[in-house]
Amino acid sequence: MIRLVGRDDETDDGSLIGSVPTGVPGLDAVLRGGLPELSFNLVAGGPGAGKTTLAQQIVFSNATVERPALYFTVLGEPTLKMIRYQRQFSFFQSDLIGSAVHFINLTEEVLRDDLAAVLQRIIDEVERLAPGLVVVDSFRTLALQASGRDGSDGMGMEQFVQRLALQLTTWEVTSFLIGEYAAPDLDNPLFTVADGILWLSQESDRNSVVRKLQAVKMRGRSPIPGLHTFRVTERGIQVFPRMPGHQEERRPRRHERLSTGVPGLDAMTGGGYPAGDAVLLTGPAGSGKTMFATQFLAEGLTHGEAGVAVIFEEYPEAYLARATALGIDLAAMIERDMLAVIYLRPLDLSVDETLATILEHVERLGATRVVIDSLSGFEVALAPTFREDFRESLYRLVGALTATGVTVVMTAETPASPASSVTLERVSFVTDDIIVQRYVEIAGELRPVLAVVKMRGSRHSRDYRAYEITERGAVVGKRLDDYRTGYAGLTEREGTILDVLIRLREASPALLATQAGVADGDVAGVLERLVALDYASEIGALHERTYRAVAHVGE
Amino acid sequence: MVTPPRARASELACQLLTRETLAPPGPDTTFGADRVCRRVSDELCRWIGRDGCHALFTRALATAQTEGGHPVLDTVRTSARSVYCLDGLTDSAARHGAAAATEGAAAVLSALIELLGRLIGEDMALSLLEQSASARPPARASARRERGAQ
Repeated sequence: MIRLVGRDDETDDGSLIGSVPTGVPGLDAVLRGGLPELSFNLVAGGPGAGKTTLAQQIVFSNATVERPALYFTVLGEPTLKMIRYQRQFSFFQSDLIGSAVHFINLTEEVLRDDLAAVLQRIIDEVERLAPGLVVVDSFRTLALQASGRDGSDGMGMEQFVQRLALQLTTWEVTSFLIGEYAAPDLDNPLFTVADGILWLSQESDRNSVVRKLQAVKMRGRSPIPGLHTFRVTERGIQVFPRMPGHQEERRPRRHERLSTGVPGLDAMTGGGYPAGDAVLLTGPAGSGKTMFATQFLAEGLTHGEAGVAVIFEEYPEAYLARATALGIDLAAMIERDMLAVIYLRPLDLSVDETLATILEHVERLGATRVVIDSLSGFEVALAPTFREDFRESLYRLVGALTATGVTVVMTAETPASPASSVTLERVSFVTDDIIVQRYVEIAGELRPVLAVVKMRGSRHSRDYRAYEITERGAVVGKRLDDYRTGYAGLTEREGTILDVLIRLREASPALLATQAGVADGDVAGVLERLVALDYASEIGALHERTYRAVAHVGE
Repeated sequence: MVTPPRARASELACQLLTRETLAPPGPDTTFGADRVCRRVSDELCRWIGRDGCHALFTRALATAQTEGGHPVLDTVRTSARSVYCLDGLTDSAARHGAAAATEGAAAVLSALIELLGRLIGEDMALSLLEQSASARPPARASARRERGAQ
């Protein structure tokens, strides 16, 4: 029920303006606390944008027999058809129709070209039923009908809007006018009178459709700026508030370490991943990234720490079956509300939707460990429009997650496809810690090795260590001291230059050419290959570029 | 056993008409079935507009006429111009007798409920017709408040 705040009343925070909760998940967060009570709002957007659904969701969430909602329909979509479609949503409560929710048709008054009669009819019904909410759908149709009139009743559209707003506020009504408006309509007087404007849009890009909502204006509130994605499901509209552009205030880093679930890796990281860190686990296909990530989750579960796995590349059944084969009964953990496995693969995801889903489960379970497997799959699952700014989105996602204090382990495949944004170079800046896996040739055999290449603010091993994926999971071995090593996929010349780079730790192309005894012109191409294969990383600006070996092999 | 939609629609139509017949006589001396149909028509017009109401009554009347057995409906018409969507029922009652006219009205209302049920769901159709048939001239909220204050 709408909480009324009279002139002499004050809300808890001392403001005279109370809030009407919208009942639309995520929208109150966008508006920072719901709609201002008694506000005169416009819900605008193109055909099929979801305007009517949004309005009806608000109506059914707030209407009561004592403070009903009046839904005025004007030409446009026939009322019966509108009800027929809207009742498919779970928010639609047919038992409220006629008692708490009243549909009233204004077609007759509108066709008479008599704005005064339209206004009088609305006022009469408001006076009769004393509603808390009023919706006029579609107001645009009413305005268009009125545009060709002679104004013989002495009322122009602008005056009509002014009087309607005045009357509805006087009757203590929170109101919504719905209309198909576009950007060129912004100079419409309605936009000036309205206290709030919610703009709904949908954009098509290739085979994906992304719906967005913007609180263009909201007097008495400071809504989260920008475009917020939303989805229409059988439950109605759900808005996914845009993550803030700035890094959310992060919880102070704890000195606690979280065991990785792999003893050898714990040793390399100085006792495990620092709690609250964002960890990137990168390696080629089949190198066991998922295994390491799953063991991280399982380790937490064993010690009573709830976890969330967000998977993009395999079905949950397959994911759970693989864990079971290793003796990790994740299904039982789901049953005990210790674990959530979120499977996202719709190809029209937004980063905000992904974040909202993860946070919902983190809060529900009180999870401390989150695995995102993998960033490459995540990027593919996003709608094309969000792939374009994937780095920025990932930055905000990781920032928002780690701000809650959870430790996030993300996997990424290397080498990535040329079109992918998920390269070590491009995503390392969002992470605190990076573990690199790769294959190396040891005594004629291709072996997987891993190294810790970055751990923000803490000491760690710089060794490459061989590891095996066994029936019981990943097992990390010793340093590769006793082996003569080679580099998988590198030519002899490339191997030679990499050896030099490892010895120098960091060098310019010119220095490398001199030290390796090769021509300057040959070094550039070799370095490009070494970076692509994650053996080296590029540092510095274009004119003073230097290179650094990613880790040491058998040093 | 589950009652089929047609039987439920017919049952409600008969209930509405019987209730009106049994009600104590008021200032409106028109034929009882006519009063029920008029109230339903008024309320539907308010909900879905006169065109929508007219379309529903026209289809319901055509269905009742086609299914036969109600000669009383032969002279009943719907009119888009009239506020009331069903013309001629009172005249038919005078010619064919009140019982036959009530049966005819019940057939129209039953078809209307069934049609509405297919469009917006049976539960809502039954509820809407129930409310419509028993609707009384609305009191203003201010009058209700004044009464409440006394």
